[in-house]
Amino acid sequence: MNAKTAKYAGLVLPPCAWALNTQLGQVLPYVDCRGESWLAAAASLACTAVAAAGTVLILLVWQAGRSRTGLFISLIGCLSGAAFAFAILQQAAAAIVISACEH
Amino acid sequence: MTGVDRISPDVLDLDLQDAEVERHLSRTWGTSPGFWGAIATVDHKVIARRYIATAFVFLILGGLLALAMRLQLARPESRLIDPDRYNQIFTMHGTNMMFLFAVPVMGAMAIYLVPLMVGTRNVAFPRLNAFSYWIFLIGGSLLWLSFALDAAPDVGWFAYVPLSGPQYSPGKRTDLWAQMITFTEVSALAIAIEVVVTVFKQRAPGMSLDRIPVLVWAMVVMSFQVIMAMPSIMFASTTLILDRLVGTQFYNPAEGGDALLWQHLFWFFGHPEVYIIFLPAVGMVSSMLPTFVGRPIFGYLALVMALITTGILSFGLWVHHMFVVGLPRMGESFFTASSMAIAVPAGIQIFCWLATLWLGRPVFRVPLLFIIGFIVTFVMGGMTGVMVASVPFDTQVHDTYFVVAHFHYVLVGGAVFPLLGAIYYWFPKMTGRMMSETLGRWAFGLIFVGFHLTFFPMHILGLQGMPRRIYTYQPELPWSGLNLFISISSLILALGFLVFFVDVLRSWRHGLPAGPNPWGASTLEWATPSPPPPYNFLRIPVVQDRNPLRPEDKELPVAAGLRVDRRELLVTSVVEALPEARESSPQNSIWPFWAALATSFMLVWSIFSPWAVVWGAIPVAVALIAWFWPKGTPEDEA
Repeated sequence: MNAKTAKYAGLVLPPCAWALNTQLGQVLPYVDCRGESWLAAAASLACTAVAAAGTVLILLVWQAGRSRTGLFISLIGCLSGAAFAFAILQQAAAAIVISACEH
Repeated sequence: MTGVDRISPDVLDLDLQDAEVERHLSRTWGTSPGFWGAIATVDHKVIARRYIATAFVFLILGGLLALAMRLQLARPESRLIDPDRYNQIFTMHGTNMMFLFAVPVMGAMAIYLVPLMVGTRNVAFPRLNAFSYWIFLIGGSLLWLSFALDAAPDVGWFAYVPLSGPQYSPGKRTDLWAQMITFTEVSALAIAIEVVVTVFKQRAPGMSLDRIPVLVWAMVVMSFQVIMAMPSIMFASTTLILDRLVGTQFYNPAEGGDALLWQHLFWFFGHPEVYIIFLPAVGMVSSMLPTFVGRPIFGYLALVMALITTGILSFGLWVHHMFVVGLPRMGESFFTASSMAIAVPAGIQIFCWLATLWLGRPVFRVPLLFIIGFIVTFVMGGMTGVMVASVPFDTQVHDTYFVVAHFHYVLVGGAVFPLLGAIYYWFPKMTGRMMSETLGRWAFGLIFVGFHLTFFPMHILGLQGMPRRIYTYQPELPWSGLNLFISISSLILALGFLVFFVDVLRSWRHGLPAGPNPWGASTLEWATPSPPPPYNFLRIPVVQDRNPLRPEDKELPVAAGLRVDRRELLVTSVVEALPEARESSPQNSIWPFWAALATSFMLVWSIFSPWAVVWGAIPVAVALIAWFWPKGTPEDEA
């Protein structure tokens, strides 16, 4: 993956991971309740990892973004990625703490 | 412009002196005098001023409805307004304020300011812009006409099924509501498309992504939110009409439909709508603040990040309006998590503004007073927002006056305060005249005090259990004293708005001349005369800094090479804003007006017959063909 692709991947991955996890949070509690599984928690942790990976990816290619606007886009991606990772981490905490069968 | 008026083809501005360029551009970009000239204009400034004026008329009407409700609730067992009329009034108030005031006025500010702030001569798709205004005006008038005829919708601004379905809401009231949604959403979507294309392809050379004014960033994010959120409510309102008119069963559980689908669709639009209103206000504050503290905004990058993050996160909060419908607790908590997380970018914005104030030298002119009023009020509304994001707390206060207090703090504090500040700030640009500093201080004081005295006690009423939307209450209940206090306080708030409107009307005629840059601001719109000429900029500016109008710079660098014998714009690249092409911009046309009339005819007719979509499409098609038919003008050339 070249630096430009990595930069935009870092920009896109965290919000996509958050959107996916938010949707899974509407479906997986029913599955978890029936099968006594921890799929919602596992999915949340996986999405947190993806969001964090997106953020780290930007940090890794930081030096490659030498133009002023490139650096600007990288920093935007890095900061927003951290915010999305934080949101998904909170969702993971909810998935671990709250019973899937509770209505 | 007619063919007779045109000068010889291919005349470029670099061959001409300033006076000659001005003469040619005035003729090429001007609006013809007279009634039909006014109807046909596609000047973004003229259309935006109409939008703003119309939206403020709707604000006045919605405010009068609020006063009527407060009059009714001032004492227990009041019989001033009957229950049916009260249902219409609170439905009209909410629908009007959200769909006919808040969203359109923010879009209108974008239409006025964005082309000026990015240094171009008109908005992208200017005829679509004219079309959007006529559609908005007709849709809003339709709703108010139904109210005047005692046939207004009465199902709340959210129109939950099954209440709004055919079984519980016979007649055409709900259909009018649903079709009014279509009108306003079409106009909002049109504006959103125009803003996105204008910002991404028509910025002045040198205005790379990291030099775009925060207000413009806010309008871009708002526009993407509109593009993402509005289809949801358009689908919802259309399927509701189908359920009511042709007997589909989208929302009827007995026939395999799903009543909760309505709530999901409505709030998938409804929650981002709050941010569609709020984010432009963030942009306004971030653009006004530096002018009154004498330094650039603190944390430009953090503010842009916060805008984008807020815009995306706003699509993951909608279920917090549905905490009492019985969804799995775990799923609800995911939305609690996002609702709490969105406080992070909101907090970043607040800290950036506080840091800007702290590091600068504040000059307390009227716009800055409104900004400070906004920060105080919005922080309070944000804190109660975090409270109602919690499922157990929300379950207790759901459908009480606590929620009424919360969202008025967020919407009035978060959007109306900055908007009023913005009117004081940009009024000189729009009219060439200053508003009164004295009346402005009175307006701010009365509105700020009146607002808090009116809405803060509603928190207490809500905690005491007073439900929303009740038209009266019994004297034994402990709500009478606070309700009377709130009703009296609402008069102070109304008086503040009266002073504001008097100031607007007085200043429009008799305000002191403003000059091009009365505040000493640093963004591009202040490089034009006040009010700006039809072509905005005599020559397209070249941007070399995030604050292009620095006091130390005597002259703004400009680009040349555009034709003056036709409406021509400079197209630039998305990231770096490097010049790419010269592009023609459409001339004035009467056809957007006729297309809007034809579309309105079809939409209104379709409330009564599904065949309207078929037969009504014919005049729409005719109007659109005439709209796009080549007219043999220089603008038709590639």
